[in-house]
Amino acid sequence: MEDKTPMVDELEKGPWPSYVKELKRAAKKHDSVKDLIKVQERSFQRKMTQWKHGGIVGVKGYGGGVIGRYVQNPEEFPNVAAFHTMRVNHPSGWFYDTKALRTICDIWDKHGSGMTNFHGSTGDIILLGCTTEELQPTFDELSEHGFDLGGSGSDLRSPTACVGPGRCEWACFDTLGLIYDITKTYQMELHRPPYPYKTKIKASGCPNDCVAAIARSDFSLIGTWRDNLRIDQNAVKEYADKKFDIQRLVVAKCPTEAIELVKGKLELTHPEDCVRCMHCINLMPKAIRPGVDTGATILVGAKAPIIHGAVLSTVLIPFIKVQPPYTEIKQLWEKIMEWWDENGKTRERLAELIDRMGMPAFLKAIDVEPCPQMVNTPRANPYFFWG
Amino acid sequence: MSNDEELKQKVIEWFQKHSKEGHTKFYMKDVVHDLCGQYEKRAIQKAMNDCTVDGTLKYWSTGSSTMFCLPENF
Repeated sequence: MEDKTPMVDELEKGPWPSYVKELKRAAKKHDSVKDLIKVQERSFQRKMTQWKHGGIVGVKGYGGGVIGRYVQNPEEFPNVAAFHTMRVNHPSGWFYDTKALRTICDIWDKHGSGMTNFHGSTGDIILLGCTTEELQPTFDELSEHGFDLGGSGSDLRSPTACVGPGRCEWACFDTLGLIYDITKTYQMELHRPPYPYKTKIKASGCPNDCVAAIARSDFSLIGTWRDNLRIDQNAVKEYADKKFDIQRLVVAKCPTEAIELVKGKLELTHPEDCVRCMHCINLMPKAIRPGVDTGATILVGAKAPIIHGAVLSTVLIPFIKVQPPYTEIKQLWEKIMEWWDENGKTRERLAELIDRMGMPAFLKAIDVEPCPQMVNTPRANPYFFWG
Repeated sequence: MSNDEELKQKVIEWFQKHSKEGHTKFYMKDVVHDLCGQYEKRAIQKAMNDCTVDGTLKYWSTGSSTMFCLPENF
């Protein structure tokens, strides 16, 4: 195939950053990237992928962490004949120092194509383009520097947390500590695919849910509080003095009309109606904060497949204190996995299984009492029938 | 032969038998379903994983779901 790639070159135009520019830079160092650009040109010409997938899984002893990728015409593109993806488990909250990042990049430049994706939709560090022979040496060197592979296939995918108390004043529990603990505890489930399909755990420190736990994980913990919002009236006055329209932008937009502006003071007049939407906190962070009796809501059953419709999580435990050693949370997760593993069909996610077998059967199996918070919109429709 | 070794042998025999019938790659659930009358589910899962460590079985994955096969069928 000739070296000209006019269709791929189109993606270099425009004022925004271009991955094609970066590929061309990388191609000066790695022949595999040269071939990769040509493969992409071919896929644009033929309007279909030029990759086969499926096959090799990992390094010795691991059933996940490597996704096999092979080009359809290896004779034409020999440098990307095998172009596997490696998933490296990310640290909780994605906190790195520059030394760690340089280490990963150096290892990858030495063994692979040099191309990375920080971060993939799994949250992992994605190393794109490894030959079969280099998989084990790459893993060995990553291990020497304290990194491990993440999840892929029918296993527990890399547990993921928001930055939590590391950077965020709204974190209602230590998301980083919890996810670190879970990752360490469930190494077997992460590296040896034991389940009917993939499964994910995510932790968000507050209802802003920066890691989209409610939409992207089978088991999610989202920070919340049992008491009331804390309102600093002096700070409220400062907002008002700076002509910030509290009535229009905050009070009028409270979805349950739980807050009111009374004689210049912002008051939580109906605390029982506050649904923790975070709107007022997001707009007036200096004046309004979450309560002090903090913990998490546990939800189950989200998934975001490409073909069928996405499913949002359902509340399972309205409030739980999240403290080490997290025994109650881990026991609950294990019960859920046990039920799913026992009853789930191949490639059936937890949400689909709950839908098929019914919420009452699920709750009975995991020994959780039904409660009003499980009803999606209790005031609008209390008669939601599961299955 | 220890119980673990015996179960691993059963698992390999299962794969040899079923690999002749057209398919070469199987989900863990397929094996567990057939052998769970004789053995504990967890023991079968462990035996399958042990087989991948000693190389008598191999993982095969699409990236989203994982299967097992004999090395000659990889």
